[in-house]
Amino acid sequence: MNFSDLILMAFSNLWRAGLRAWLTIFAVVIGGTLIALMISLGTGANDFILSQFRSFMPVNSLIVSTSPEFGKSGFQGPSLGGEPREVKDGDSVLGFGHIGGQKSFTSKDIETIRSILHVQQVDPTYILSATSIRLNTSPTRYEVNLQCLPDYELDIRRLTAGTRFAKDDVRKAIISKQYCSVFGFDTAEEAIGKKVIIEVSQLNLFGILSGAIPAKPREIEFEIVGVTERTMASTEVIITKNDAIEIGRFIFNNPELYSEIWGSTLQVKVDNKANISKVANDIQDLGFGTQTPESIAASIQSFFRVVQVILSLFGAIALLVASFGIANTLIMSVYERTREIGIMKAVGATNSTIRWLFLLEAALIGFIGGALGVVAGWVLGRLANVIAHMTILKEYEAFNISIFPWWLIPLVLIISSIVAIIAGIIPANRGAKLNPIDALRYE
Amino acid sequence: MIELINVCKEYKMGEDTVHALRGVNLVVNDGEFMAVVGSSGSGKSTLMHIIGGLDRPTDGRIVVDEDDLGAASDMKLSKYRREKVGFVFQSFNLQPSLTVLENVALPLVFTREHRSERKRRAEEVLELVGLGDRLKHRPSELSGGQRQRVSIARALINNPKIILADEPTGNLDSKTSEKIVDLLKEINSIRKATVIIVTHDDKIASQTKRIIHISDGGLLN
Repeated sequence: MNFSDLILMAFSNLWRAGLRAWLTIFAVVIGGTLIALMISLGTGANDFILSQFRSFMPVNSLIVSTSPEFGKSGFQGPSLGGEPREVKDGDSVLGFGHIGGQKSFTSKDIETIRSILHVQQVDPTYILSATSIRLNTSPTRYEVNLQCLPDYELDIRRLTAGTRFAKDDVRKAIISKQYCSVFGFDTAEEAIGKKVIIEVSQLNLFGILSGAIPAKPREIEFEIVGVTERTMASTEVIITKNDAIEIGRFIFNNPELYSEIWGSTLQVKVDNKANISKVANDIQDLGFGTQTPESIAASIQSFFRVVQVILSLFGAIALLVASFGIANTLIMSVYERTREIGIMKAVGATNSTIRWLFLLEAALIGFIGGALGVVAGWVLGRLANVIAHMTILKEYEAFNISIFPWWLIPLVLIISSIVAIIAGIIPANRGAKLNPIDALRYE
Repeated sequence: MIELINVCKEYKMGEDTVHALRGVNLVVNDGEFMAVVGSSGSGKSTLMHIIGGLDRPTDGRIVVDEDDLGAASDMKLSKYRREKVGFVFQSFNLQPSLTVLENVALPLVFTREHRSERKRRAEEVLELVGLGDRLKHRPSELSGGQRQRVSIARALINNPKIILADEPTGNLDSKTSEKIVDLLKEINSIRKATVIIVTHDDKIASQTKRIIHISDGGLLN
């Protein structure tokens, strides 16, 4: 029997089954839709988070911590549920460094790390806990996440207005796009040259430890020189290194900070992305912990892969349920068409022809269901994007909550067809093994 | 030539064993026009199924043109049915969902004949049985006699050497029955096909050139 005849016959048999076939197909559609939709949502979320992350962390740098466990286990904060850790002499002078039980880097450590092959630059990660930010013309204060970035990291921030810092700049700030609207600027350009007041206060955690009374909070005026593009870091305000050192020393009330003691984490620049893991190994040999952009990206991706698998499991369960429907429909159809099978065998059809006829019918159910499922998944994904752009992704036109990779189409079609064919094996074998004489007598 | 040597067929019916055929010896030469006559349950249908390659003997041998059908695989038996045998059934066994033309062309689907060739040959045999004007009809739109003609046309389409007709007139009135037998007779004489009619009707049998009687699974001489 020709393949085209086989397809045609399977198709017309399916067509004859009418409503029953469509109900069976519908179950497959649900499974296919779920798989397509869930994978596209997972891909969208992964893409969004990863691109946000990449816009923050330069690919040729790594974070180094005094804690050798850094980057190995997920959580670096206080002991949760476990026993409290012992605090030893030389533990971080940054006060809240004790929360993690972490030591501080010394100038000697910095020199050692700087001397490692391929290392180009070592910077502290400035911890600048500011209380608030406001326009100098307005009393309304807003939350702020004060940052000082190494020059090469600042370079990957995209500006929507203004410029980056000039050498030796002081009291200059680059603010995030989100501040423009709360400050009442119609455009980002309008913000350039305006002054903001940032309030910083001493951390009394350290004060308690040393017995000193914290100084009064300080209000420092900055001139806005640039505005970054809108990202998830909506409260980020970037200042220069000179200001960061001054503010850091004030916050922790420690004049040695960033000259003798450097905090518990550093950011290390490597000459080439390819040498990152080599440098990370060398640093780990010194007894420090490291975290590379690749390891963070990999953990983000593996997290979303798990999410995708879990989400598409719903679809897989729906397909499994559908496969019972397919088997049931085809078994019914073998009974119904027993005489027809007998006739076909009498006029020369082989067992395998009959088997193929039913397997193909199963495959058609799976394929049609999968195809409709892909289309439905795509449509629902588009709908989710439209809704997301009106709500949670309102300001992120470039991002989609559902991303439909091309390989989803063959993936869903192949999965649904294979599941359907497997479901068709038992009915197909029943049909193939019918005794032609009994089949012809069947009423 | 069809040769049956001591052919036995047994069925298990629960605890009992039914002896449908008990050592049948028979030779049918090419181009014969013969009838197998017997009452219900005599084994005549079983005999036809074995000759037609729908069933295998439990003992003895059936040889058609030097091929031992009893030892043939399912594949080979299908090929034998496809190429050498045409069946005509009492209840016609047409597919209600297919048109007359499609029903007749069905065997050619399994011989991988090209679509246009299938149509051409189906039209030709339908013309031969006098239904050239009913190609697009469904079986349900035809009379019993017409349906049996369709069934005969289907049996003829592969140009088989052997036509096996199992009670071909069982569901037809006597006048129509006569025409069907005439048609089979014509096929035998023009196409030189071996035609074996299984019947319980002596009147039908008397029109053939050779009659064998079967009773309780054995041939009566």
